[in-house]
Amino acid sequence: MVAKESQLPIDPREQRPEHPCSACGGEEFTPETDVLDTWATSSLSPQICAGWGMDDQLYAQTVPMALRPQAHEIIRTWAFYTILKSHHHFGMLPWTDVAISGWGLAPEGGGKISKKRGGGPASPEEMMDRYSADAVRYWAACTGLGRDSVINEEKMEAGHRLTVKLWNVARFAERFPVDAAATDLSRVPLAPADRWLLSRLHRVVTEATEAFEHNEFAAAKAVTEWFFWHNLADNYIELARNGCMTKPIRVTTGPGWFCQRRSKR
Amino acid sequence: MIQLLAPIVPYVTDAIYQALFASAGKRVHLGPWPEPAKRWVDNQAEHIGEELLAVATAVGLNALLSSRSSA
Repeated sequence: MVAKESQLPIDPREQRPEHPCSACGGEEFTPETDVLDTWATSSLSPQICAGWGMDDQLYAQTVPMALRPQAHEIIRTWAFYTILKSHHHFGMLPWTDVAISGWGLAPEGGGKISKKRGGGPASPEEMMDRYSADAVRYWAACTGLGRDSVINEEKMEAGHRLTVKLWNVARFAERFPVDAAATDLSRVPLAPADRWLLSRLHRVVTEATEAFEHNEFAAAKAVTEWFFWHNLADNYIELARNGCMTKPIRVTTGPGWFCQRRSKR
Repeated sequence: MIQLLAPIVPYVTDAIYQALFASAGKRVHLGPWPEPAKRWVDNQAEHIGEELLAVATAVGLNALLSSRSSA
């Protein structure tokens, strides 16, 4: 005998059925005491997400997956059961990497942020309303794998400032026409400041890429953000804004930003 | 630059990419990851750039000081 959906959740050890058995009319019941392991389906999440039994092409393309991101408190459960099921059912690992993050913590000792516990006095939802989803993601990206991170409004504000500055720099670049012939930077006459910026940028691309490849997103963010503020925004753009360069153009390749044609000084 | 920051601040970077670089691809998140180009790494250019910044900073500082003293 099973409960109606409207009665759930129930604990059969404590709650009796509301009606006699519909088959025999009996009123004496023995409660089920076994617990269904709720990791039964979530331990198959790579296969389910990959369309196992439903989309063979997608499944072939995506299994084994590249990454399982999860927190540390469910290594024994979610990570272990997923590996176990994949090994037994399919004879393979479910992914090549597992990224174990820490928790987002509510301020003032509020503990772990979760759907069940809520977000405390400065919840992520409230932070999104106040600073934007980008700012909240920026905060989360400030902390490397394995470490807890307390909700920090200063970091949300820093993320907000970054988005505003990015937008303003983009608007500045928008003034300059796209030079269709300049898709190949090697064909553009470059000023010394351009060469400096390009050299710095390509070092940053190398460092950020290496960091991302090791799932060190906080390090990738730090090196990229430093370049943006201290090389591009505060210096290169200011040189351009103050008329140190002429004949500006915007190119769509290479730095993915814009460069200036010829230096006046 | 926009591509590098796309995983960190995905909304603003995608909006900028669509506004400024639509011809390069519709969405920044569907485009290729930027490839580092060793040919652009130039120690001399970086040295010159740092010198240029030092001059610009000094000029800017002097301009600020002179504007304050004349005020």
